[in-house]
Amino acid sequence: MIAFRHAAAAAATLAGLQTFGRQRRWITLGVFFLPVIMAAITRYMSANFASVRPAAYVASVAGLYATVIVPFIGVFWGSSVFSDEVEGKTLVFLWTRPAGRTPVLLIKWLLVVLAFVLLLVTSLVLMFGILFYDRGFGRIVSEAPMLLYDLGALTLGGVTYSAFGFVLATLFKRPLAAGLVYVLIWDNAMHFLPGYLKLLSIRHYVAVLSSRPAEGAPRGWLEFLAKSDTTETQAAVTLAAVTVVLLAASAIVLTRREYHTDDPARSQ
Amino acid sequence: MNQVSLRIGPGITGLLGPNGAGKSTLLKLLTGQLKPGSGTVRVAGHDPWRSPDVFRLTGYCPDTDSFYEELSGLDFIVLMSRLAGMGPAEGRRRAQEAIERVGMAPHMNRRIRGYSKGMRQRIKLAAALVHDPTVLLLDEPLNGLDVIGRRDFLRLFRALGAEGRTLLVSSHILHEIESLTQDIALIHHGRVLADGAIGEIRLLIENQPLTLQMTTPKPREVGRELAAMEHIYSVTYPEPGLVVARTVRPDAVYEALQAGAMEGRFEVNGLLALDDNLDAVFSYLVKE
Repeated sequence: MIAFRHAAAAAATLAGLQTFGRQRRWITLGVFFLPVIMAAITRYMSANFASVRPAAYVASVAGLYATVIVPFIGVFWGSSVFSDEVEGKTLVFLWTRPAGRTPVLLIKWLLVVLAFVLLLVTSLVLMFGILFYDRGFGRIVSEAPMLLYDLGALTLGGVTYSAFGFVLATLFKRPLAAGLVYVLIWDNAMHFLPGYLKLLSIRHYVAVLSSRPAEGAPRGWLEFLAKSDTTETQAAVTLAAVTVVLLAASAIVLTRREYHTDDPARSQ
Repeated sequence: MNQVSLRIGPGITGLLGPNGAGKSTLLKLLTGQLKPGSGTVRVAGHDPWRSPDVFRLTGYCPDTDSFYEELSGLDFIVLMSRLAGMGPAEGRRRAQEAIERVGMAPHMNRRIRGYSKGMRQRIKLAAALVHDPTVLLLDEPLNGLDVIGRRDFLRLFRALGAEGRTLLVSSHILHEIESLTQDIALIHHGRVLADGAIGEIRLLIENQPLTLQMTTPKPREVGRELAAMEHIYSVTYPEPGLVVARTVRPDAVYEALQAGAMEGRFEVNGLLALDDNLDAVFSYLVKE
């Protein structure tokens, strides 16, 4: 167990390299803090800020976090946990160590997801604070339930999207392309189609969770899309269950599959 | 791989075969990266595909030239030690020892991105050694090393073998292996043709000249020295900084280059066997 703890620490190093390595550091920070910068610009450029801030908040959550940051970064980071090792041909170092490849990769995924959640929470709270700070914290406190709903929805969504990216990476040579097809085409098409098909999209459950703002507070994002029989509890349980199933599938694939990292033509 | 039946014991065993013979595939089977379609693979009694515990006993040096480039050499080896289950203090100590052993101590705090090919080979070997394994599986470990590097590695391998470890060293150059051990396994087209008979193979190729290419800032000096040796058939200079020599005594050429480098008369940065006379030998064996 102690030995495994040390291997987990090594996985943390790899997760840190992936998340904050020189190649991705500024892009990562830029993507996560774009909504914060836009909130600041809105606050200081808008003539009638008090009346536009609920709309600015909803637009930011719906237009940036829910549509871009959470699904795209979720899938991208989730798939990178494994595909970085395949493309960088460093998988061999994880494959030939006693900790075992599957536990190390799952821990790496967990830590990458933790970094994702921390950045998401920081960014969302800062954006919210910039928009709702009003000569005191009264407005922030009164709107806080809405923030908590959206934080919960986006966090759960991000975790599920990243688990989806992870399983794609264990299955496909180009997991990011498969992930983009899912996010851009499937998720959107299913979500906007009538009937029960929306139950097959991650986005639907994220929308359900985020669209129950506290009474009297501004309505949450994409409320109109969430009109379905799915309850918040069902949505949360579904996202958690999908995440667990995806991770279990990844673990099974990793245990059984051979990966050829030395010859691009035979890769996976 | 096909019809491979091989048992490797303590000491150094050379895994010899031309490029594409299946040496790396065999080593990947031994390290659990590939699963045998049929038959069994056991390393120290463990099935490497199913039991990662085997990697407590096994160190593997892959032939790929890939690393976590942003890390320093020391950080990379510490990372490998942590993956092997060591704590931070022990991992650091063992990493420094392994780095020292492969002669990388002066460069261990530099990023791997800036390492030369030879340095990368050395740090890869340190990664295989850091957890003090009893079985070492080394895939073309001498590739890309300069003359001094080859000499250091061969010395280190002999020392590791003398410590009672099991070393399986793959190469496509007979003379490299010959200077290490008399125990070899010959592999060609995925089949083990013979094992343990280096003398017989040596006789087969004795009369076939080998073409060696040397990279050096002083090609004329190197060429002049080689041309004076009686077993050299020809010396040419195909490009600036390159010398190509044909000889039936490549071992003597290696020794001469090593001596010249040690005495500071010239520097040889790269050494490559251009034609693979093993190919001819293997074709001959297969036909026989």
